[in-house]
Amino acid sequence: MLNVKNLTKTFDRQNRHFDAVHEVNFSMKGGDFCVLTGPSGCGKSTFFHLLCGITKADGGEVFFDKKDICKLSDKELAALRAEKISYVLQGDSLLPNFTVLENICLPHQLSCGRTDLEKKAMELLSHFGLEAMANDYPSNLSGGERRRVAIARAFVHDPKLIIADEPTSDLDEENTAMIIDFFQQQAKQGKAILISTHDLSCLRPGMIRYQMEKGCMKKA
Amino acid sequence: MKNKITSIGSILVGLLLSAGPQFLFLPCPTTEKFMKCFWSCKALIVVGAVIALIGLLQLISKEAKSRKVLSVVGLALCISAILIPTVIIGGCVKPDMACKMLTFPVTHTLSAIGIVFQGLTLISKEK
Amino acid sequence: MKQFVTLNMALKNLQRRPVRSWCMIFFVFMLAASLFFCTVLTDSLSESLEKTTNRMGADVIVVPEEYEKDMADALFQGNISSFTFDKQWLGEITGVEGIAKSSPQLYLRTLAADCCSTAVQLIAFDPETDFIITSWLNDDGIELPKKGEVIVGSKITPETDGNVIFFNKPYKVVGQLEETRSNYDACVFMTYETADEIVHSDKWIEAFGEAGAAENLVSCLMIRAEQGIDKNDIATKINYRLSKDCPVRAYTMNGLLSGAMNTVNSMDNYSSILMILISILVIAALVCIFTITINERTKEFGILASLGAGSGKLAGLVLSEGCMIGLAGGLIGVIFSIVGLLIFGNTIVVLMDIPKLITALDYLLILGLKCMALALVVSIVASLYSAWKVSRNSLDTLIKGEEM
Repeated sequence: MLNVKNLTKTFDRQNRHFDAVHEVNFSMKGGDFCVLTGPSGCGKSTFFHLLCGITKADGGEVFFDKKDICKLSDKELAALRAEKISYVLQGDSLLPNFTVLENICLPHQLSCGRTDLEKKAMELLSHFGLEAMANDYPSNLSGGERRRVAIARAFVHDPKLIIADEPTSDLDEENTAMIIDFFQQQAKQGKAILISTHDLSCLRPGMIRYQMEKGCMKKA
Repeated sequence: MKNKITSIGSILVGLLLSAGPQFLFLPCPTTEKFMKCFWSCKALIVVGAVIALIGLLQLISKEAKSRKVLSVVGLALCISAILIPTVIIGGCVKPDMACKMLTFPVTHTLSAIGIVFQGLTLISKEK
Repeated sequence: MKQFVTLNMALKNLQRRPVRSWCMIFFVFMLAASLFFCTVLTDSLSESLEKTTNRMGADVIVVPEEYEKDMADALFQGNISSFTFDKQWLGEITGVEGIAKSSPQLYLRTLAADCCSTAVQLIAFDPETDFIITSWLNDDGIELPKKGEVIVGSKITPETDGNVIFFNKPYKVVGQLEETRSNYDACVFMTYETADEIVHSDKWIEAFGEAGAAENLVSCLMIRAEQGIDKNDIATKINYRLSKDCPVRAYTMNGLLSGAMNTVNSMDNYSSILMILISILVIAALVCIFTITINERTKEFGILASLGAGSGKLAGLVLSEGCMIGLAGGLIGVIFSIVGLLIFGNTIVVLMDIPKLITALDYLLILGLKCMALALVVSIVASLYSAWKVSRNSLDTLIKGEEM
């Protein structure tokens, strides 16, 4: 499903070039649950941005469903993010002006015109124990609740690949376990899941762990 | 909160409609003959007082339904506060008379504000 | 529902930020309201002037010299006036080349009994020579009034028995002219015979003193020039022929109303400049608010972009917010202006000393739509820059929430 070859991204910092992602080779298929670990600033987020087409690569190829993402136009990339690849941003990523239910449904309505997501959204909310908060605004939710809503939003339109950047950071054990359980369950249903984390305690049997350091990635 | 604002606003509008033409924005001075504007302003005392009373009842009322019923009466009274100096009793004919220049424009404005307050109460979803 | 999602999201964004939204709506409201008021004011003045000159149908007018301004005010402002000169002076004018028609008119005033019955302008004309009022009567299919009969303008309401009472005597109303929205709507027209009856009534003598025979009194002489003859030439020729002690002078209609015309023109210019300045200020203020708030909302756009919203949709969201602010501000501005105009129209007319304000609903509605369209355009122009920035920025910058 996803095949990355020699992926490189270079940034300029204080007139010096450095590779945030350096010649990375990586692949995953449906049902895989991959975890990327590594210290802050090692290039995890940049790697994810490259996979989602948010950042343009300086070298290498990213094949998703046999199409090279690096060669797609902005419009095609937007369509890809709207339908097949779901990306959960690091930190708080809810829209403050919309209710929990609207946060889950409206962005997908805007990006791909899906209007049939409300039932699925309520199912996901009740799975996360948040159905009573469907009409609350994000400001009334705790950090863990907000993160769960963001994850529900990533799954609601049934994408093939879900990429989550630090989905368990700053969360307590209970919330972390609930989220990891959900990811595992979704992976078992055939979705490809790729997350990054600092927290090694959330690793479980069956996960494929990768280690990233100074832009280079290897299987741990 | 919205209910409090519209109720207190209605009370103020009612009081100003009642007392304004008598003390603040006076109509034409009366000579030996009482003119139409004099009677219009007398009628506004009663209409304004009832609007203020309705505002008071809306303020203390705990039920949205009764506030809405009161707002229908309030709306009718505010509209009649416009009709009294224009159609029902009328005012002076000359455009430069005090009633035409100041009193009635101000009472019309107050009535329009009253209509907005009562309209807001009528469509309010507050319980 | 699918096609309304952008509008729905834009509306929710505005609703959840009421202070910012109302501030922006206020700026647009100010623009729409001031545009509406300035336009009504200048249109009203222009219309009054145009109606007066068009309806008059005279090219040159002869009036007592010291009453030139009174005549202009009577024509333009509708001020009630009563001045006369002796008919004998007209003898000096007869025979001037280039005059096609000429007819005298007599302007009289009634008394205002009290505030509830206002004074009325009476205009007497000579049916034999008249070329102005008789043409209006022909247009409206009204017969010439006989002695003791009058024709009234559209704003005069006769008593229930079909009479009007002047100086305690009833006069039969034989016709009412159609509304012209000019000052003539509040005038009463009659022949010289009827005017003679009025000036010899006891009440008139009590109020204004003895007057001679009405047929010897003239307030103004209306003159129509022959085809192709210059009106200024005729006025100059008449003034040249009039003796030095003659109390009357000839003026072209444009010359008589030149003061009013200048006022209208300069008002038109001032309001245009004011409108351009206000539009620029409102655009600048909205651009600033939009830019500041959009910069604070970069992360929101980044989230939407990460979920697959394309740059066009993000720009559409910003533009929709701009449109909504424009529509709301424009609508509130127009509603406030129309209500304010209907309530305070009379006060404005009296305080600003202008003939009248146009309050015809069809005119106000069309003008309201134009003002709303301008408010909408201004808001869209103001939001274009932000929309362009949002759609042009890299997704990376948006997601990081960095300043655009």
